[in-house]
Amino acid sequence: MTLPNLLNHATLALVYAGVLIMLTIGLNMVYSVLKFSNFAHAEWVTMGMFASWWFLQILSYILPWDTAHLLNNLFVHAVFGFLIVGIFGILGEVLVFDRLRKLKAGLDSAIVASIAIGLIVRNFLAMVFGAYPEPNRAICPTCTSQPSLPGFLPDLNNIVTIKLVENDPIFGTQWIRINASGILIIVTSIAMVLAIDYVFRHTKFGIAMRATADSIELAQVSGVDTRRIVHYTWFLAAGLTGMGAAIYRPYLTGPFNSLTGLYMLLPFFAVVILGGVGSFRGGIIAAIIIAYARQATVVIFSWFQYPGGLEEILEEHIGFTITFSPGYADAIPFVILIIVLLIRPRGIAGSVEATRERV
Amino acid sequence: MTKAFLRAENIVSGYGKLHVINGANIHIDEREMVTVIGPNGSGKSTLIKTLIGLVKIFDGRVTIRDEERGWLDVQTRKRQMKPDEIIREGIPLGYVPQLNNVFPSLTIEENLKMGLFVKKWDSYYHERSEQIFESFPILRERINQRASLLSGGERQMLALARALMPAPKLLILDEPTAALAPNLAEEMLQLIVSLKNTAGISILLVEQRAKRSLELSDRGYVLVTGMIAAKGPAKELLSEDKIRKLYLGDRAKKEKEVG
Ligand SMILES: Nc1ncnc2c1ncn2[C@@H]1O[C@H](COP(=O)(O)OP(=O)(O)O)[C@@H](O)[C@H]1O
Ligand SMILES: [Mg+2]
Repeated sequence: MTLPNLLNHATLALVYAGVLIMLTIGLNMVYSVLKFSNFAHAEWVTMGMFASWWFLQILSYILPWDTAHLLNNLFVHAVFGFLIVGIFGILGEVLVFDRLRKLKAGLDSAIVASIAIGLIVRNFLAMVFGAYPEPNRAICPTCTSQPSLPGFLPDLNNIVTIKLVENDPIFGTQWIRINASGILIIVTSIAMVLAIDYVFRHTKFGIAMRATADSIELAQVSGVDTRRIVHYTWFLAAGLTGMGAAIYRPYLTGPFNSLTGLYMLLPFFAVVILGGVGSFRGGIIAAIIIAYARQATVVIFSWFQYPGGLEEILEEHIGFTITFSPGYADAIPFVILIIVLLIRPRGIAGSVEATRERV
Repeated sequence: MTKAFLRAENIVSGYGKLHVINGANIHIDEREMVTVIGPNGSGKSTLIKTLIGLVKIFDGRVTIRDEERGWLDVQTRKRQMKPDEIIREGIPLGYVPQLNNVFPSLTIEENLKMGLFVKKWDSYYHERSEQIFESFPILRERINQRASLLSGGERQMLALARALMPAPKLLILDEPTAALAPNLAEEMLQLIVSLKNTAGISILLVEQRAKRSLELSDRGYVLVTGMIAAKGPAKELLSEDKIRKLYLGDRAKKEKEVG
């Protein structure tokens, strides 16, 4: 029997890992500094998509001559997504979380508040945009929902295929097949990781942020204006998420809607918890593990569905049908999560020391 | 001869609406070591946190003398300086809290740099850390390790070293020996005394090892339910019968009295 197209699966998993990395860095950051799980994170993703989409429409409308996409391109949309969602992140702090803290409300209240904020934003977006956003071609005939990149990557749907072997009796077909959007996701996620690691480790701001995450009081007595650090944290965390969502949007096969972020929230939490809550490096490793484990399950399930595979065997010999649809692989991240938590209760990067410190 | 460095007058402070400190007066002179003792929960930590703006002050005031600017109001009911403001104003205070006194996920180098946060740490770090390593050689050996990997004693060393990085004139220490074995605790207290003697740093110490720290101090205060119950030169406090019985763990006498 021939091998399935493993190389292609590995490529898909890499893109998925990139998406998880881009979209969970912010969730982790907020947790490590503010110590609560921000459920409104789902709506940061959704908002990033809407904001970048809106900006595309606006730019198409006011810059109809920009057919070369000098200004009206994905990078500009992503920066806009960063700013809009970043500001939204700060607003949440100023209007809600800061007030709750001053009233000595506990972290549980903050979690519930974040759920409420998410719900409000989600429904607001649904009210404004309906099922999914569509360009109004009556007002703006040049508008499109296809984001574009300038010159060097003209069409995001243009698929690059690198065939290594084709119809080999043993190796079957092995190819790398990826579109410009997928490449951009991988490149952006790597760039984000390197940039943030640099900031955390080598800049005064980054060290102050980690110090604030460790102990607000001790950071204050060292001279850190922790309120400012908290505001920057919200801005950066929300902004990066909004930017990631803008970069991810062109990769989506169907239209996005007000629920897109919400559907991704559980895998996000799986990544963050698996990595060790609040751990940047742990989160990266967890994203890669989850993406590859999920894709491996897809391969195995498809294999079970081949003629003569496990599905048929079960049906013939036991008369019992289990469908190994690759779609069910979505549960795999959570299976891994539970197994890892049973072995390492604080996730990959969580250590016994960390437990001791929180007493 | 000796000049006052910090004065706290009629301090009333606490959390939310709760008054923990009820009108306390303390002062610390230059090059002086002062110990505050008192039973658990009497408000020792609250009192020293009030000095640096970590606790709300309801009444009274805290002033600190600055070489150039004279007496500065640091805490008053009207205007309370936050701890980071005090540090950014260049007031030479160092504070080591009772709990969570290092940044566990930061390396030792980063912890020490945090002591210089409000200065240009790149230009000061080298010079200051070399000086610090003379008293704390173990920190140099483990400079790139996370502080969470240190033992209890080493953490306490790091906490003290971090507070010393900006070369403070007054060091406020909240139970620095609480988590230490007896021999390490004595070492730590000796180190603190030597800071006063060699570097001329004033020390405000809160200690559970009341007797030993009074023996090493110039003056002492006894804090009971948020009020100063006794004060004076350390030697006098040590010789007062009542204080020995109640606060210095003079068990032999206490038992005699009970029995
Ligand atoms: N963050 C806080 N919020 C409310 N009450 C507190 C807080 N910290 C301490 N207290 C109360 O203040 C009193 C004095 O505490 P503390 O200053 O820690 O005492 P000590 O350091 O002398 O043991 C105690 O009754 C304690 O319960
Ligand atoms: Mg205390």
